[in-house]
Amino acid sequence: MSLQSSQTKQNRVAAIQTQALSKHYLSNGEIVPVLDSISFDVEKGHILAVVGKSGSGKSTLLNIISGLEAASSGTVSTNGSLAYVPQRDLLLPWRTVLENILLPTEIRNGNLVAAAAQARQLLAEYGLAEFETAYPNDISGGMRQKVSLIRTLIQDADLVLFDEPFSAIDFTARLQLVKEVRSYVVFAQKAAIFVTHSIEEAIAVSDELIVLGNRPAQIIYQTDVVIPQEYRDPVQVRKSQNFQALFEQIWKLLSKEI
Amino acid sequence: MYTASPYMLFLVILTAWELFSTQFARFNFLFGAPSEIGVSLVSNTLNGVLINNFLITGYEALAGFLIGVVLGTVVGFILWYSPFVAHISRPYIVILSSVPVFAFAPMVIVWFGIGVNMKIALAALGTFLVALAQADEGAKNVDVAEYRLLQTFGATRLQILQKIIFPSSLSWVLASMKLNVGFALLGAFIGEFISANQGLGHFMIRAGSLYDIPSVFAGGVYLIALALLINWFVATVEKHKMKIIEFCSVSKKTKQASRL
Repeated sequence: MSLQSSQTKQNRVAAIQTQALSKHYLSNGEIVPVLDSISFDVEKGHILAVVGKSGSGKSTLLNIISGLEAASSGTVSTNGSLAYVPQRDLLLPWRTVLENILLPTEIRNGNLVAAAAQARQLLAEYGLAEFETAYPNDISGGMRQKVSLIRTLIQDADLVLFDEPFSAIDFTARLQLVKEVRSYVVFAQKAAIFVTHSIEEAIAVSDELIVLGNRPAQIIYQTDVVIPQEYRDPVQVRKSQNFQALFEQIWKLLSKEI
Repeated sequence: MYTASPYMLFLVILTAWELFSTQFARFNFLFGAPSEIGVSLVSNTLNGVLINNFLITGYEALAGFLIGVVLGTVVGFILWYSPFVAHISRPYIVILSSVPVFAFAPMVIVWFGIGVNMKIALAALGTFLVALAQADEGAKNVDVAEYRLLQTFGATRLQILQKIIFPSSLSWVLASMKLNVGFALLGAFIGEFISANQGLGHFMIRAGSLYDIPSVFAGGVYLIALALLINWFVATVEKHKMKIIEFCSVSKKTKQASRL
């Protein structure tokens, strides 16, 4: 145990790092600040949870990290390929489940036969084996979000950004997916950022956690999350020792923000 | 009884019409009689005149329709692909779409003569702008989140066009096809009205100038049949919308890999 932890300490290379990241928009000639001096780093095998109210600039943060938007000041460095799990599943209705999963591979001109084999394996793991030829409109919201997750996993990116991916699905599916995400990132040694407005979800899934205050968003709280593996889902996590204090701390901070 | 009532009304009107036209010569002169329309319909069908004209007008409308829809859709994509081209051409498109396109008929005659091509051109012109507007609107209505997701996959602009813009535009274009088919038929018909020696428009205007009202109606019956036929065709195409989009935007290799 001690040997392992000293090894991980040596490997502490940030896979995602932001330094004094700020972003503002211009609206009718006025400067509207959105992000203010955000600094953090995420290492391999870890998940950083970002908690904040709706409209606190969380999506903007992910857009900047994934290179879709430019920062106004500050730096972002990412080390490796990047994939993104959107808030809505964004499955294309004219593609079957499997064809949706193969879309990234199709676009990158990758090996579709290998990807299809891997996709089938993942579909089976998620209990969706019989739905590979179904169209998105014929399956439930929870299933669609699983397909969206598989579409991300199949890209085998080093860095994964989750943008409130489970906010629109039912509670039981959500529990399962939070666990899946956690074990995937830890097992495959990915680095992930998980944006959510659910405090339980954030604590259950993350290794580090930041709380963003409102407009412009700045980090108002930053902590490590130490929760044993068996408590890593949004229901079980309530039973763990550290949960109550952490939850109350975050709740107090968030409720002060209007 | 309830389901039959529209047909009953039809029968009542036909009977009244027939009665009036046998009683009043003036009425007969203005409106003809159902029996005379029937005679004209049968004789002009049997001697092939109406069928021939039906095929010609149908050909003009369909050809013009297809040309207009394809060109309009392609230009719509170009506007999406090149914001600069869109920026330059948008005011002209707005101006063009606000003018009734058939006002350009005199020019079209100069360019294409008075043959079948002129009618196809008018039908195409009538559909082109509608298809263009729909393709443009469809491209603009693509989900920003979908667009960004494809960007994170590393998609080029051309790939984005093929994978999401094209499908979205196509469903808008297909949704407007019923309206568009009407414009195509109108274009072909107006072309024949202006100048022609064949087609249903020609048949009807010639019958009208000979005070042969029953034949005008007989031509109208064929025109309605043509409109219904084209509507049926469009409805069939629309029913297979997803299949068409799938065929055009999912790569063959992906299809093969997902069938293994």
